Amino acid sequence: MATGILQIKAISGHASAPPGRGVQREEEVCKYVDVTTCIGCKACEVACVEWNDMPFQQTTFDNTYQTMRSTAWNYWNLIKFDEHQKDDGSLMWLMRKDQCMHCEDPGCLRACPADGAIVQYTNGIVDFQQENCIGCQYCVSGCPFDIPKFNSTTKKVYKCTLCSDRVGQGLEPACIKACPTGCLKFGTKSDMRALADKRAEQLREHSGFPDAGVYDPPSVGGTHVVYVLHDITHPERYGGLPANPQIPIAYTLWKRVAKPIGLLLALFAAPVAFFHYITEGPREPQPPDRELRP
Amino acid sequence: MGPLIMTPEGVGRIFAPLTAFADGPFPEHYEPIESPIANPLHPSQSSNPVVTKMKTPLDKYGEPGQGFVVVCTTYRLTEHYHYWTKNNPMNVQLVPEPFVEVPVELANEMGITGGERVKVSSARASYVAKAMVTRRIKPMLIDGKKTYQIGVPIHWGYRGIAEDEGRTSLTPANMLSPTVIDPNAYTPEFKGFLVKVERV
Repeated sequence: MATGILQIKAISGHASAPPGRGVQREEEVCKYVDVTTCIGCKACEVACVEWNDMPFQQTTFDNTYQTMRSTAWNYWNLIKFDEHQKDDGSLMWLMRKDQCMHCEDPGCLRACPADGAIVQYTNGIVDFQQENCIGCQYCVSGCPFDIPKFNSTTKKVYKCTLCSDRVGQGLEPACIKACPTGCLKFGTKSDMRALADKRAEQLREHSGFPDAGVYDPPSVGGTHVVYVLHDITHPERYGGLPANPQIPIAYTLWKRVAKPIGLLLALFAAPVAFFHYITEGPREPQPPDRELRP
Repeated sequence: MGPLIMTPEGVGRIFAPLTAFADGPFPEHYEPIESPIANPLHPSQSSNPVVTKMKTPLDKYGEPGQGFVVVCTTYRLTEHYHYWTKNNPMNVQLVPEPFVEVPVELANEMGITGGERVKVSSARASYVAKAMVTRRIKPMLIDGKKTYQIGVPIHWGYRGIAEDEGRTSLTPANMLSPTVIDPNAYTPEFKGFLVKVERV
């Protein structure tokens, strides 16, 4: 089912052909996050909570500016703060916006056994459909980024939707709209990836960050959220971003190996049973078991 | 157009007559009323002579010799605005409780861990809050002595969401700072004064 942006085919009383006519719109969207210019103001956290009408929770002081330890069922977007001391003694205060990465090859989707609980749209957004969720929490362990969180009252799992409701109407996600520094951008995957590569090059050439790079891990097929990092060789410094995110092997073995084999065996059970009936006949009444001698 | 829009000439002044500037006419360096050192330029008049001082019993000033050896500054956070956001659930969710930013070196010296409550006292009042142990504030070397600085965000007071639940000490941060008023801008000396830090 497509909820794409409306494209004009014909306009009445119009002088020329409708603009962009015949142009094939690129489907895949992407969120661009420039960690180097983030100021940690949390406007994006507030925008997400407000747009998604999420109830507030009580938080406590935890020796950091970070709002809470990890994302929650009612807190899908979290800035992670880390103080990193470099070898030369200087300090970097790293702030990374943490939310669902909308992987091209999502671990949550592979792990989920419930039909329709997780959908991946053609534009790359991975969305949870809570009506179909059975609350098994396999997605929680299937995610290499520890994003989905379970609500023990409703027994469903929740995460960032990349504002699929806003994107479906041609708007940018709420977090991107709220950001005051312009370190968050939204557009097509190729545009955002190109922007990120250009920004990383600028950091390497002109800003004294020789290890700057773009975080778009191929191990999950690339993600629809790309980060520009000062130091792409140590992503774990940025609030535990995995250097090589992997979907746990158990889910791959289950869905890609054991499940097809099992289905195949089940499929052949019917003809095997049929042929056994034809050749050996129905089950005969059996003599009673002999009693064991005392 | 340059930035100096408040002067009729549009450029900065080295000579500012007393009609324009209460503590002119030349630029000068003064230490705050509470400072870890005497003014190196003229120790006998360390602080600004034309500041307005209040004369209530609370208006006492401390010296390093009395144990007030830590420099303190007060400031604002992004997540809160002045004193009304402590009543707003969204802001309180972002930063729930008052805290004091303490350098790692001072915390190690005093055996303070992050999240532990500390008592910050000036010559006027005490402020109890949780310590945020951070590397972002570095110790300073002033006049050959290692001097520490701590930071106190201002946004809490005697009413609010956390205050009404009894989770704070109900003291506004500005009980600590001296009410010594700048002769031009009428701002009190919120940004530099002396305190001592203790474990609770």
